[in-house]
Amino acid sequence: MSKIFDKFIKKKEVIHDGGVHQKANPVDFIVILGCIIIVVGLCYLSVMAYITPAY
Amino acid sequence: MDEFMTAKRRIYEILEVSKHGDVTSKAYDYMILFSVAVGLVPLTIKGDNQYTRLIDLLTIIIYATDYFLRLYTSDYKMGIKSYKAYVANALMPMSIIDLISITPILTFIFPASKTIGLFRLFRVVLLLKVVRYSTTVEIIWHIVIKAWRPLSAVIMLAFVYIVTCGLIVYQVEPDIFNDFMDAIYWSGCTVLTVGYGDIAPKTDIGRFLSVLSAMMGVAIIALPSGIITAAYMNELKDKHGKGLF
Repeated sequence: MSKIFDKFIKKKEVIHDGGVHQKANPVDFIVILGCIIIVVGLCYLSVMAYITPAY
Repeated sequence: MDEFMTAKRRIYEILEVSKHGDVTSKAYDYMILFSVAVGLVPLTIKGDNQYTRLIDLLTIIIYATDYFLRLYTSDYKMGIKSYKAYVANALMPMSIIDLISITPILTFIFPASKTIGLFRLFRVVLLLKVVRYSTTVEIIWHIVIKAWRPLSAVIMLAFVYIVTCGLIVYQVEPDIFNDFMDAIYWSGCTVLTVGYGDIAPKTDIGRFLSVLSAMMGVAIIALPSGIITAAYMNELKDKHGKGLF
């Protein structure tokens, strides 16, 4: 999972063990994961809202 | 502290309209656009059910989070490290639209009040949030601001014509129009060439006025269309020249 994120999202450079490494920003993880959950949740809710009778 | 500032900076980059290659920012933009579309779903359903209430609640939480994060990163947006950045950002038109879009939260805080229930209609304002993400809408908005003087002149001309026409027809057709507002409504519909036909003049003078108003209407509609189209083409040429479009 982490590798998939590392491949697509913007990375920041960190200095570790005397060398510069590319590391994904934790904010990106949270945002992308949040976006996926929200979109799936909203899709489910809007379908259920249409098929459930209103009162 | 450095980590904290980096995270804040990154939040600002994600919240702003995505730049080339920033997948997270693009994902966030699409998520907001999608939540705007879903946020309008409850308005397309007659009545309520538990899911429309959930959509209301969830979308408001999303917009509120977006609003407060945008305020939180005001210093990056405005380019100054001062409380003035937060005040200035909060007073920007898009921030005010964001704030209005979260006012339906009052329906959850005061569920018993029917008047407060009207706040739900404020959700229509959500559509204005799309402006932030659309370059075309942004261009049209700039054009309207730039061409405001000729546009306002045309609107004033149309308004004067509608009132004058309404006054005349109200006097020549006293049996058809119950009050002056009826005459204004008929005049507006005729000048704008809508033609609902629920109120129609019977006398020769009234009918002549209808034809005249329809002809005037075509001219009045054509004027702002021409102004906006010409300004739009100029704007596109400018942007093309600068390599922005």
